[in-house]
Order: sequence, then structure tokens, then C-alpha cells
Amino acid sequence: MRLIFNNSRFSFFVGCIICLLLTACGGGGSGTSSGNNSGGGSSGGTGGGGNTTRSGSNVVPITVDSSVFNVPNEPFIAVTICSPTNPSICMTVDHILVDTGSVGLRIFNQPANSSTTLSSTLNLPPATASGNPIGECLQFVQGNTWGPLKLGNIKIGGETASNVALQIINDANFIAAPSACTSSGTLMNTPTDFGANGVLGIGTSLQDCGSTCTQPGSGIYFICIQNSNTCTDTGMLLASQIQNPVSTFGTDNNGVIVSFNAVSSIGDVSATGTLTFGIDTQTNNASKNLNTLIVDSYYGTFTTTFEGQTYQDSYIDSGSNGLFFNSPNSITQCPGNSNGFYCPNSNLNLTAQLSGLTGSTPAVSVAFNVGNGNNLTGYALNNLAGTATDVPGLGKTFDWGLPFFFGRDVYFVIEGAHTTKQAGPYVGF
Amino acid sequence: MSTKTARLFFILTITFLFNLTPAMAELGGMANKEATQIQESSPIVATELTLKTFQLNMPSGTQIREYVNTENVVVAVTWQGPTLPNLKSLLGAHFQTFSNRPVDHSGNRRSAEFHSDDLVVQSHGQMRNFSGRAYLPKLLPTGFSVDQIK
Repeated sequence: MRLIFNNSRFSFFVGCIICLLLTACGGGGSGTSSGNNSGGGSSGGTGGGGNTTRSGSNVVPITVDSSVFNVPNEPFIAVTICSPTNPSICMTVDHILVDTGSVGLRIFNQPANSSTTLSSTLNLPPATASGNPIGECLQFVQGNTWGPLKLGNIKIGGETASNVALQIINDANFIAAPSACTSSGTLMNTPTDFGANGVLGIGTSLQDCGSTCTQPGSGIYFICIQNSNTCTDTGMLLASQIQNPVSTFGTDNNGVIVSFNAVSSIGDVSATGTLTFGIDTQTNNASKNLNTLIVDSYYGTFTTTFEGQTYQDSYIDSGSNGLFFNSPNSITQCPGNSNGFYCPNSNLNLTAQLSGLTGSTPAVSVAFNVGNGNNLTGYALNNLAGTATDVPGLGKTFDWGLPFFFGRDVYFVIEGAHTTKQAGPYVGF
Repeated sequence: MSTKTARLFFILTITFLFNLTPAMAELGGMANKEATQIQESSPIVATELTLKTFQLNMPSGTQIREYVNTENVVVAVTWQGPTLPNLKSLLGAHFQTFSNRPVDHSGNRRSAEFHSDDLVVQSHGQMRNFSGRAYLPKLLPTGFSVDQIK
């Protein structure tokens, strides 16, 4: 935060919280008008802005704001969890990160803006294997989330997934993280650590870990014995792993459309968008004449070509708040920080080519902007960019984060699912 | 069966039978735990000194490489695969330094980094697709390019 914001701007943001709340309650139709503006915004693949005027039981609003978490470019949604044994007992948690770069629903037991915990409100039953509760240590490079898998009914808008596994992060009633979890990373125990009250992972995979975790030794899934207070690394059947929540809905379960209005080239205080469930399942979610990138069925990756370099590890990720890549023509990094954001003297207008696996539409040019990270204002930024800490010899990464989404409809089709166009996993825009 | 192959087979068998996470020599430590080094790849040649690389596959499929100087000290490590490795054992005492890095609230969820004159750690990726490297800049051979660490 210290990179982009300073205290003098804070009062302005605080003053805007009320309007942000109004925007959030308005259903996503308000905010800036769609369409690319002259100064920035990503363009190239699409003509107009994202269609955030959709409505229906399969559509819910997304907001980018600073009312709870002081981090730019985080798309948030509200999720309701209900007891599977007493479905009238529910709890709604807002500021859940919409993340197309992971899979599964995870919520901090104590949300940042809640007077109660999930465990005390819902008393969800544990997900078990061989009769014993399952613990999970999901890895993010900034740290791990530890906590039990619980069974709940997930309700988002008009969609419901019944009696499915979700992770409760840092549940004090559960066994502490085993060393096999804390040895791969520090624990993210609070919403502030994570920058959100939880994460709704809706990438193109069916499970969070997949085949890797069907064998023991991955340090992700654990069988826990409450009496002895121990958790042991274990292999977990695919069906017992945390599933993509969308795939567990009764309808509209083949993927999602993430849509955002365009934002100003100098940044906006907030942004609004929509998350639409299902593709070609309703009148409001038909496939357009899209660019489609068929992605690797395990990694979810495709290839970006930029300034003569090939980035095999490319992905479109709403959970990344910037465009992260290492440019062959080095772009000035912001001084005095370790976050690796770019700070060029003037806005850079750049172009890259995106190409998917065989069966994709032809490579498509995408224009994008790199702004000076120290001069950006607001929390919705279409030109926030920085370095990726990839290891060049192990494969270059191009992480198309939230700036890619502004002014676009981006379709994510789950592996093995079908639209009228083709089978997943693919990303369309 | 050559001695080396026999040793490899033995180690793989032990690893399989007991589902142990194979112990690695740690960054900055001596690479004297021969039993953990199951595959020796071609040495890479630096300007003045030679670094040998050793590779190890974790049960998850994550590959670890160690770069060892002529004094038998591990001066760099890399990892790549579907899960993060046991960084605590891989980085040794440097794990605490990495863990204690300033909290990054910038929102960059796919990158973590620590830089000092003595230690560099770069970690990138997400579930199913992680990569990273750590090295001790002062112990790298003169003229050695960090991009050779891969």
C-alpha cells in the first residue's frame, strides 16, 4: 500500500465509502459507462466494454472498493453459507475475493467486518475421510491458509451448491497447523493478511489440487485425529478434494463470465462488474463471437508472446491485482519498495499476442498499459503492472491480472464442461 | 547394477516405503548428505569456479535443484512443480529471514520476494504451478550470472 497511496489521499477515500456502499447495493449497473477510454484501458480483443447490465438469478455484482481492505484492484463478492442440516441458519460474508486463479471456496472463520464467527453461527459439520476430519493447507506464495474442510450449502445469487466442502481458515476450534504445513510457508491467519475475507476460486479446474494430491506427500491435504490433536499428510480422492463451487451448482455450472466496466486511465475510486454463472445456459449468458484460449488442463496456462519473448506460463487471473511480467526491455521499477511495481516516466502503451493450445482461435493481439505505480490514484486501475518473480530458466510467466478485465467480458469454462462453442478448459474474451 | 544406480534404487525404495519427504542439504549448508542427492546432472561452468547441480523429485512431483560450489557449500536452490517444497529444510536458517520479510499488502498474490546483500528469495505461482529460487549472492562465483540458476 505504501507504494501507491499516501495519507493525504486517505480522507478522500473515507469520504467516498458511502458512495461505494451505494454502488455495491445497486446491483452493478451503476458506475462508469462501458467502453474504452482514450487514455488507457485494455483493448484489442474486444470492441466495447464488459456487459455489466446483465440481470437474472445467475448474476451477482462484483465490486472493487476500499471500504474494508486497503488494496487496489481486488474484485469482491458476497457469499452466503448455510447449514446443510438446518438450511435456515445462514451467514453472508462480503468481500470475498473473486479468483479465477484458484479453485474452491475458503473463508476466514472471523471475517474482518463481522461480529460473529462462521463456526459459532453455523456449526457446520466436518468433511471427513474414513470418518476423520480433513484439514487443508492451501499454498499461496505469500503464505498458506490452514483450516478444516466443512460441509455447507453455498448460495451466491440464485445459485446453490448443497452440502459441499469449503475451507474455514484459522478456525480456533480445529487442530493447529502441522509442521508439514508451516514448513512450506507462513500462515495467513487473518483477513488482513490475505487482503480479503476469503476467496471464491472459480478457475478452469474442477478441484483445487487435482491428481497431485491423490498421493500422500504433497503437504496439502491432512487427515486429523481430534483426540490426539494431530494431522497427517494424506492422499485425497479427487471427489473428496475441494471442488470448483460453480461445478457443484445444480444449474449454470459449466463456467462463469467475469464482466467489468472500463475504468479511467488515471484510475477510479471503485469499479463495478458482474459475475455471471453458466455460459449458453440462459438467455443472458450466450457465448459471443469470442477469442478462445484453450488452456492446459492441469495448469490452466496458455502462451503470451511479447517483444520477442515467449511466456509459456501465462494465465488470466482476477485474483492478481496487476499485470505481472518481466519485460525484455526493462521497465523502471518503483523506487524504494520491494513489491516490484513498475514506475515508467510516462504511461507505456504495449501490445502482446495471446495464443492457446490447439483448437483455440488464432493468436490475438491485446493492448495494455503500464502506468507509473507511484502516480496512480484510486483502487480500480487499468495500468497497474509489475515484475513477476519467476525463474526465467524454468519458464516465463505473464500474469494477466485484473487490469485485463476492465472493459471486458471474460469467460472461464471448466475442464470437461461444454458450451455451444467447445469444451473446456478454455478462457474466452 | 552400478553402485550409483543401486544407491538411487535404495533411496527411492526407502522414500517410497516410508513416504518420507527426502531430506535436502540446506542453502548455505554443506552438501555432505550424499544420500539425499539422487541425481547428478551436468555441471554448469562459471567463469572461475564450477557449480555442480543436484536434482531431487519430491513426492508431489515438485523438482528441487541444488547448486553446490567447489567447497561443497549449497549456494543456490530452485524449485518447480505443483506444490511448494519444504522451504524450511531447503532454506535452512534463511527460511526465518524469508518468513520475517515485511508484510506485503500490495495485493500481488502470485509473487513473494526477499532481497538483501546476503540472501535473495523469489517465489512465484499458484496451486499446481509453483516455481522459485533462493541464492546467496556473496557465495556465487565471480562472474556467475544468476540466470544460470534454473
